Amino acid sequence: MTGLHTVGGDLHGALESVSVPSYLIDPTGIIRWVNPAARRLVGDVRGRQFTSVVAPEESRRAREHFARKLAGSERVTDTEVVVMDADGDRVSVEISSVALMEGHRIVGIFGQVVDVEEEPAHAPPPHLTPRQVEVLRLLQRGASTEDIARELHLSTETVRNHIRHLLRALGVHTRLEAVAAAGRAHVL
Amino acid sequence: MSTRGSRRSRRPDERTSCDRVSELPDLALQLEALGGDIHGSLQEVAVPMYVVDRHGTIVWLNDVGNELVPEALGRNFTEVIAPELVDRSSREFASRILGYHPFVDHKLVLDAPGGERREVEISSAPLRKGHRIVGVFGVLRTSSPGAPPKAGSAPTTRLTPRQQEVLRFLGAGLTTREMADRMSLSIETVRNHVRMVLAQLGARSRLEAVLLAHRRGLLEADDSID
Repeated sequence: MTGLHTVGGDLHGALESVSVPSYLIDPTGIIRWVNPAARRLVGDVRGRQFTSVVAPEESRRAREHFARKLAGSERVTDTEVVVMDADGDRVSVEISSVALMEGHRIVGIFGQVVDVEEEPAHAPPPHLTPRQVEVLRLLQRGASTEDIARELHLSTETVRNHIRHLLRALGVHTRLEAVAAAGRAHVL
Repeated sequence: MSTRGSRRSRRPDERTSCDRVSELPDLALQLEALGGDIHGSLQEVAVPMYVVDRHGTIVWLNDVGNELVPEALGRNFTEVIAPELVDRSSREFASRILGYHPFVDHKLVLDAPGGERREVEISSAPLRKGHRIVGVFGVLRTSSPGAPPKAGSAPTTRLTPRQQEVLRFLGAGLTTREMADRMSLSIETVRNHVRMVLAQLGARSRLEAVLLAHRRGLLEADDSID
């Protein structure tokens, strides 16, 4: 941190200029700042609730991360999330976010987009329940049963149940088939 | 304390680069309103970042930046990049600091002593004090972790024709038995092929292999298996 001060200079201006999308959310969930790179990705979303930028099927998970972060129980969040871009299309992005501190108080969340997936994300099959969609999204990211249980705060048995129902709803027999089927659905 | 209500009506491209220099950056205002310290956030966020001063000395690295290029702090940036890039990078650095060369995103190969050689994408911006450029703030994007490119070679995954076939079947969600039937192979042989595909891709599961393959363009979404 010392280096940041010794060089001096306008760090805020530099953060505005880099091509890495960055944002700042206040404790009520309002997006207070986005840099031009972020605006190119999702439009000018300043003043909006962050959940309005996240795809609806992911907003519960996003809210949970947000709550954990404000409570201080999760320092750094690295996660993949599907956001809605300026045209209303789904884009899968990898983000890293941290608490913005004032002394020991958490006064906001600062985050950056580490990576934007080239492949467009697609709306989930319409006949799935919200939970099934959440599970499907995590499976698509290669998450194991344990990973999903941790992410959604469920027992592994419950996750297995959701997966079982998801497979049935997609008419497939394995997780791999489920991901393949969900990927194929939009191609047709 | 200012209210930000009027900002909502702004369109993405309304803000031009010229009003960015003339007005206090929005971020500073927001940070002031929230009362937070961005330095701490930058230190912790899992995106590697650095600050280099006018002389090219790395004067700051955040936590993940430190992990990526250990012991780089206090060194000249030319000591942590691939030797073949030093000349060009030094020239470009100098002309950026002098304001002759725009800050464009570029690729670089890191080769720090004690670190591994890997390709990174750099997005940097000038650190200004008034009209003077006093340093460079940069953000790194590393290409596919776990697969650092070796000198001179592109980060390709070499799969045999059989492995490609297996990968395509995996992508279509076929089971081991189904693959064995299609390829007229024994189940054990198919398992061996699958194991090799996973190893080549650095994946721990079939699912991960398919996802990685998609990401690296080894599988098309509409790859047919007929």
